[in-house]
Amino acid sequence: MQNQRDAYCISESLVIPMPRELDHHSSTKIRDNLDLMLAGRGIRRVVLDFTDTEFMDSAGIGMVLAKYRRVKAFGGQVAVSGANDRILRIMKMSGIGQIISFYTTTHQAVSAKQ
Amino acid sequence: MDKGKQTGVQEKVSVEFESYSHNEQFARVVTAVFMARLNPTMEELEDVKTAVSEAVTNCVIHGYEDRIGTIRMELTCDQGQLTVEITDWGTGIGNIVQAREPLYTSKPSRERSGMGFTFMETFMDSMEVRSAVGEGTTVTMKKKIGNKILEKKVV
Ligand SMILES: Nc1ncnc2c1ncn2[C@@H]1O[C@H](COP(=O)(O)OP(=O)(O)OP(=O)(O)O)[C@@H](O)[C@H]1O
Ligand SMILES: [Mg+2]
Repeated sequence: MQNQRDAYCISESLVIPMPRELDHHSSTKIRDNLDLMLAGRGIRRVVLDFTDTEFMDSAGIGMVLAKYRRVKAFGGQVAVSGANDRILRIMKMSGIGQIISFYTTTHQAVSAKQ
Repeated sequence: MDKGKQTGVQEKVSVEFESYSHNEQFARVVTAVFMARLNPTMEELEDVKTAVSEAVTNCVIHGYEDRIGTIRMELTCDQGQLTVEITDWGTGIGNIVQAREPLYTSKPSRERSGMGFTFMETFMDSMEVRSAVGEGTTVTMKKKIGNKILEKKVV
């Protein structure tokens, strides 16, 4: 299948690239090292990068919620970047727009003020 | 041989596959190929792909849980009306009314949001669920395709 890019750090953010098609199958393949990263590196924000994502179903909502719960426990934030109109609509239908901030580009997400 | 049949008039395709999670994508691709004959808009195509993905994923996660079983998908079109029927012979659903409620999930600890049935209802014109505990589940969804002739067509 597709090559999943690894998560990487920029200043205080951990950026996790999302797959081209985010479904139940592909969501189980995302290796984010979230626990390792949050433990020591001063990460304050996790950016879920949807720039390459063309398809997402409810598995994407479950994945975002799961990241939110873990990051919140560390006092951090979760942001979504680069999502297309359809993915934004699906996210907003599920109500996660209340707890997550959205950015047009990953660059904007990592440089935004907390 | 090309029999010169008018496209979109009463055709049926059915496919059976095992409940491996990579078949969620397979089911979406088969659906997209079948729909091409109905000249769907990009939005109609994405709506149906999302609904199919939800129904098949439910068979994988809930119907068969950790074992591998058979999933059957039947696609019918009749004068621009698409019907998708997805069946598993797994655990079945005890309380269908509760299962269909937005945000309800029986697996809250496993990255589930409980939005699957809500998306199927939203993106299709209708959705019906038949199920019996210990016997399995059939989800039947319908959607009229190709009404919006002014929108950009998918080749
Ligand atoms: N094919 C099935 N077999 C058995 N139970 C099912 C089936 N489909 C759905 N269910 C039950 O209905 C509930 C609601 O399904 P729905 O798709 O709305 O949410 P979910 O699958 O739990 O979460 P999500 O779809 O957001 O990942 C499920 O939690 C499950 O208990
Ligand atoms: Mg579901």
